[in-house]
Amino acid sequence: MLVAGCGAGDGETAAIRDARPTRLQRGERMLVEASSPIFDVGAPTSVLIDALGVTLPARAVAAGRVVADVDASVERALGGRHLAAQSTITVVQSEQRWSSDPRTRFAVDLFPHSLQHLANGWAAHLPGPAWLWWAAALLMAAAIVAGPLPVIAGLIVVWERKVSGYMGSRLGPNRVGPNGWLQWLADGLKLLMKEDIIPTEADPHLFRAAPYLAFLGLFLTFVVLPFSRYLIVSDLDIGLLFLLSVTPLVVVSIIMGGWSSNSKWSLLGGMRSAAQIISYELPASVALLTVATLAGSLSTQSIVASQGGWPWQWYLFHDPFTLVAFFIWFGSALAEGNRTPFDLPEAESELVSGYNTEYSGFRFSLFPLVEWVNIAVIGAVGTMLFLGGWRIPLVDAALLERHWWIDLAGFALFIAKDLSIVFVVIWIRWTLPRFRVDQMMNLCWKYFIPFAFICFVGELAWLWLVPPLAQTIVSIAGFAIFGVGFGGWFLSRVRYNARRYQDLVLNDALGRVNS
Amino acid sequence: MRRRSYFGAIVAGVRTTAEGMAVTMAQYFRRPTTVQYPDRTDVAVVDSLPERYRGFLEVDMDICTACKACERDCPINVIAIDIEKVGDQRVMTRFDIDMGKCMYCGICVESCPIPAVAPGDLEETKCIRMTREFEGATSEFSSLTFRFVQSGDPVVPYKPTKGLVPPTSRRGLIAREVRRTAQSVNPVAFRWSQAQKAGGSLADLTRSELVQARAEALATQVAAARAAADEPAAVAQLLVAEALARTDCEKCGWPTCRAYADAIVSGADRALDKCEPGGARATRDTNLIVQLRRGVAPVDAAAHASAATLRRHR
Repeated sequence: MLVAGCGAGDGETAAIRDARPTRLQRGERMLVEASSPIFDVGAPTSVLIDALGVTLPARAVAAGRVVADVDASVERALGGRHLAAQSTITVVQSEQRWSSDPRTRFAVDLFPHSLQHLANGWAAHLPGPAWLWWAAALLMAAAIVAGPLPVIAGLIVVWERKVSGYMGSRLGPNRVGPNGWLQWLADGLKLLMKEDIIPTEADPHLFRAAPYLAFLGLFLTFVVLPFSRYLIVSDLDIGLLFLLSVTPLVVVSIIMGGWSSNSKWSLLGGMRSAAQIISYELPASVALLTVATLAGSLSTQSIVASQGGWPWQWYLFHDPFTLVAFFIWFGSALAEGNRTPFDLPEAESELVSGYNTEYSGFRFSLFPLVEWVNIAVIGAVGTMLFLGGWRIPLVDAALLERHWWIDLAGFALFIAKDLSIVFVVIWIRWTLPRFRVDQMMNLCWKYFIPFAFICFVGELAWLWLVPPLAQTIVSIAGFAIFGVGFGGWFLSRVRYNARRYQDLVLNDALGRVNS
Repeated sequence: MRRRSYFGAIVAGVRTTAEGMAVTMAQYFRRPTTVQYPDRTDVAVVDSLPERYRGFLEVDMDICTACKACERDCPINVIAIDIEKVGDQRVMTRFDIDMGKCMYCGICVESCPIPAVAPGDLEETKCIRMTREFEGATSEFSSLTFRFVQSGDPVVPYKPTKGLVPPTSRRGLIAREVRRTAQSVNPVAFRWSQAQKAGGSLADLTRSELVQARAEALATQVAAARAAADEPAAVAQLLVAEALARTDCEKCGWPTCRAYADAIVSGADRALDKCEPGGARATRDTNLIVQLRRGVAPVDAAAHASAATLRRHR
């Protein structure tokens, strides 16, 4: 644990140096390391999680290492409940006790809930072969996650068109369904009924496969998105890394589609997309690393859990480095999602429609679907990393454990934060013009990447050098200056820009004439 | 553009982006200026258009002198005017404007020598003029061919009086009327309404009692045509009015429906099934008229026409 290591830098060293992983499912093991060779290999050993009062059976595998088993018996003893606490770790070995540093506690998380955990539970308790139940449950979880994707994409499309309409003093879709909110259904049905054309000169297999690969890359991100305390498919220990490695599947699909179409426009779009996504993967990763450093974990649930409910407890306002990292990540996410101002791969004024020029019907519909769901994913990643995820102010883990319905509020909060980021993404699209290719590359290599590294190193220095109290003060000040101050300035600019308009909807609603 | 320093560029980028987003956000709160055409407008859209709007063309046939200036000056031959002599009287038997082809240049209006005053207008207008009518959505181009002379109803040209600017009807009324006629008489609508009248399908079109009734109805008309002074012209006129689709589509190989009818009557064209837009019904009625003209009894004419129609359109 990096944080633990940093914190233990001053004064005497505690007997227990490190324990990992600290989030444990049934069947997993915790490795406890001592600062010096103190254990007696072979002697009866146990590991105590002090704050939870849980004892785990363990064995010393070396003079400096103990392995604790979290097996079915432990789960039975605890009643299968989810237990989480900031705790010190104590190793007990024949009358002797060694503890970790009480100033830097470990975020111990036993049997965290997830859809995967649920599947495991069913598999263990239902009759018949366990793997079958497990597979069935996972399939169901996948269906639950995949089912809403077209709906999400559709609603965001309608929303985007409405926002673009309002920003251009138009109405946007308003005919299909209530206020046009079912427009996506009509569009989707139309696309499904279109002929699936595969150009004669295209590579038929790659051409057919490309859209599904894009869908796959996007769909896999949903495995680690923590929509609420318990609504997550699988809380992987390498969640963030997983996220960073599956999203570029989309670029493979885009190059594949662009190349196999055997068309100039498609190829140019695909190549641009490749250059763009590979370039922006760097600043995005480093910006995410900054947050991972802060949380001391790559698990998405741990990152959310280590933030607080109040805005100044979010990582966005944690310190100046995370604030800058947020904007670097956000810009890079826009570029990776091929969103304006980085929509060069499908620049309609130059490339017809870019990599998807030759596609039609259902295959075509997968590309926009991926693109728009990707906006929601950008929002979800931003929410979980920088905006406190599902954390509700004043609600701690114990309260969540007691009342499951509070979790629904957390879910609603997550969606609300997600949607506000989605709105900003849409808003930017209707504000900024498209970059030129060289400008796009300049922004990445000359600005985002150096600043991302500065943020990363600065974050390490910050954690090491700035005392906790000062960190809290800076967080609150950051929220006050940036959140309130910048927000207020921005609102005043909006007011200033709206000063001449006689037709503001707000004034209509208030029955007021703008002067 | 001024070159900025490295950090200057960052500051400028952040500032201008924020400013731009403030501008779009201010726009976001403005009331939409969209007119919800066609079902949520406060006034009829036609009335909200400016007087000089270039919509459909219309011709007031009451003041048309048949000078053909508009037909001559039209750069893309949208206007077709036929003038025939009936006795010693020149009459217009055709005044068609193909609005599907028109490019709304207004040159026909420029060249028209007959000024006119239309109520509700601030400016003087012409005999041929642009109106504010614009709704011509159709699934068949030929229903955009506006016919200002209905077949069988030739128009005598107007004799202008020097110094007198004749009054005319409100602009747009004639265009609306001819559009309605075009939509009900011209091909698709023609086919649909006729098919509906006849009962629809080929089987219905050739149902014996229906063909019988049609033959009897036509028999009186054919008899009248045969009694006319110019027998071939009268029969040809009857063919155009009762059997052919009147689209002048040229698919039969003749330039107009009238030309095809003349060819049938004179025996120059012996195929009676060439009217494509008219379909089975045109074949049936052409056969009926030709049989009746030869003096065949309606019962036999009906049987023959049914058989011929089935042979061709099965």
